[in-house]
Amino acid sequence: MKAWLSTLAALLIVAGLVVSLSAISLASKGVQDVATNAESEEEVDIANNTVAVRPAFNLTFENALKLAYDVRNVTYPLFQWEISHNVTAANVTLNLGDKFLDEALNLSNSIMTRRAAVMAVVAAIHYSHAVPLAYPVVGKTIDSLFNANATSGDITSAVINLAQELKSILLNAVSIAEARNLTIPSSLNNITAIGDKLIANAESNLSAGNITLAFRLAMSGYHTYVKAYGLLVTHIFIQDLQLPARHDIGVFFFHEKIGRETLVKVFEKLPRGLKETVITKIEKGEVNETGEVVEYVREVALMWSIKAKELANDYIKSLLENLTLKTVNGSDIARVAISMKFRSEGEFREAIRQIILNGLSQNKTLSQILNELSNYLGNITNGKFDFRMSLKGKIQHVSIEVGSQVEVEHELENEA
Amino acid sequence: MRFYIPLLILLATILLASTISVESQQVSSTNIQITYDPLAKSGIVVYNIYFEQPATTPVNLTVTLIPGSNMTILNVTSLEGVPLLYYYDNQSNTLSTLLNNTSGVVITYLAGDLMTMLVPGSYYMTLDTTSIPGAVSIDINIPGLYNASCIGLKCSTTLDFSSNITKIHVEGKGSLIMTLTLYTPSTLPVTTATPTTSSTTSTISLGATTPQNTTSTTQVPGTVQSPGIQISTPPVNLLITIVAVLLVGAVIILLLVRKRA
Repeated sequence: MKAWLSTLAALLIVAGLVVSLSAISLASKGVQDVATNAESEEEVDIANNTVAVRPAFNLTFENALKLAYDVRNVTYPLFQWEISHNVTAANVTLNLGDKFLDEALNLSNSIMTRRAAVMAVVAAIHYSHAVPLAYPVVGKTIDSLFNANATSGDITSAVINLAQELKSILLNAVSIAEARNLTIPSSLNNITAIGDKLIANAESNLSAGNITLAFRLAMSGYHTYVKAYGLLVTHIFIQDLQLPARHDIGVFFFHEKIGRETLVKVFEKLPRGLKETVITKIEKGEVNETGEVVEYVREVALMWSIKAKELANDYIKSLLENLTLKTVNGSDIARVAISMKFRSEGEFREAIRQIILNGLSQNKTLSQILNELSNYLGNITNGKFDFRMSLKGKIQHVSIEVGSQVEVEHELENEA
Repeated sequence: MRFYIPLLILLATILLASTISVESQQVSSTNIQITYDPLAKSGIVVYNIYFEQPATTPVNLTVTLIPGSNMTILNVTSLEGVPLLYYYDNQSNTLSTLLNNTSGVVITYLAGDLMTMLVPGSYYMTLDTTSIPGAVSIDINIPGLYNASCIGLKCSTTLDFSSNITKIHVEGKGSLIMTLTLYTPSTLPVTTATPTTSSTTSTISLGATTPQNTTSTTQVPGTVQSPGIQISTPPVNLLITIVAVLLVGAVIILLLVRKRA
């Protein structure tokens, strides 16, 4: 009995030692994982190694995997639609997302859980790119119809149909998201309603024969549905990764990996004088990212613009002075009045110059300076000479307007 | 795609004829150079406006700037490099300047948020060049490699792999919807050899610059449900409990043995 108990005790001690050694081993592995999670240095290169995905927030593998599956499910019908319209990039992107997801699942069984989580996020990013790939659908459709000599009306009608198909896929995606217990962004309905309005207007304009406007409205409606889809997908990232809601969540993932050569090329469009200073700064390695360079440009630009303004003032002073003299010389009333008031043209020129210089020193606008000149000339001619009126025809007006698609949407919003 | 460009040009011609004075015909061409980093959300815009002939009477030029945030006008000069006095109205986002005896104007400014995020890694920008007099061209330089998609206007995209810059050239009048999406290789990045040459692609519609992979044989699964997530968290607490129980048991047995002895 005694021997038996001694043997049992010895066995228990041995078993305890074995189990404790295993515990130490597993615990150290856990510590290693925690350490990897904590440092958040894990990154995965994408875009030909020009961008690293390095989540700058507390990321768990569970959240990342849920994100990948959620985004995949919500974008899957869109991918299928794009593939059915021969957008081969959709197939490539979906497959790439799947490869990253497989990699994430494989890594999850190893100690590299942080890397697995980042891989799952990269998979989700690729799945999300189903949204911009909706544009080739409309592009390819228009091209093929154009090549088949379809009429403008037929092409517009095709864009309207595609927009309606896209909306249907979007609504299906919303149902999928809801079924996965995801919340839908509150503004989604509003954006979709704007799309509906644009498409309804496109249809009515097409019926009325306003094909160009109908086409623009149809394109804008399509674009609006794409934006709505983008909002839905972006909201999944925000929910699953518990990110703060903001308009560009890319800042939480992406880190640019561009070299100095790229930065130098990027900023070679800066104005002469400013460019040299900035490029020297880049080449010295004192600014290494686009954002840093832009902030440096803003700092330098202030001093640089003061110097430029001196030259600009000289230019405008000369221009306004000559313009005023030319305008006055074109009026007999003004010339007589001035000859009676001033002993020489030089004296009159000096008076004009002072008004202009005072205006410039007080940062007055050109219009304000012209008004002051007009008032002055009105006074010395007892109101008989209207300088502003006489300027008409002596200054040409050129207007360059760059609009944005959004304006079309705003127009319709205002209509409502 | 090509069909509506003439239509838009026709519309633009009608608009120009009806709303812009005869003097505006002096503008022979406008080139807008946009250097923008979607990830840094900031960039530089340069307008190069050329007159048909040097202005012999003063010209009051009003230009609508491409809207953005935190806009800083760096300078406004004549084509000859003479700084011009300007007035920028941030309410209407227009810049006006008075000039004479020059063959054109250069406007340079910094701007943020020229593009809007669609989804992470994809950004869009809309531009309407319909009301710009004269010939219109836009050159966009993007640090990094992107697949560019254009609808509404013809785009030509060059991916410069040696300097990692994406260059997009757009011409004509119309409404442009341009989308940039982080460059997608056709295989996993970890196994892809880095290309060292530049590639140029002309596109009428978007998507032509996206890598094409017709040989992909991966079976695309249907809708998937996320599996029950089983994370291999080490059961350290359980093991510690077992060790403690075993050791306590051993101690009790040893005490019993000693007592009996």
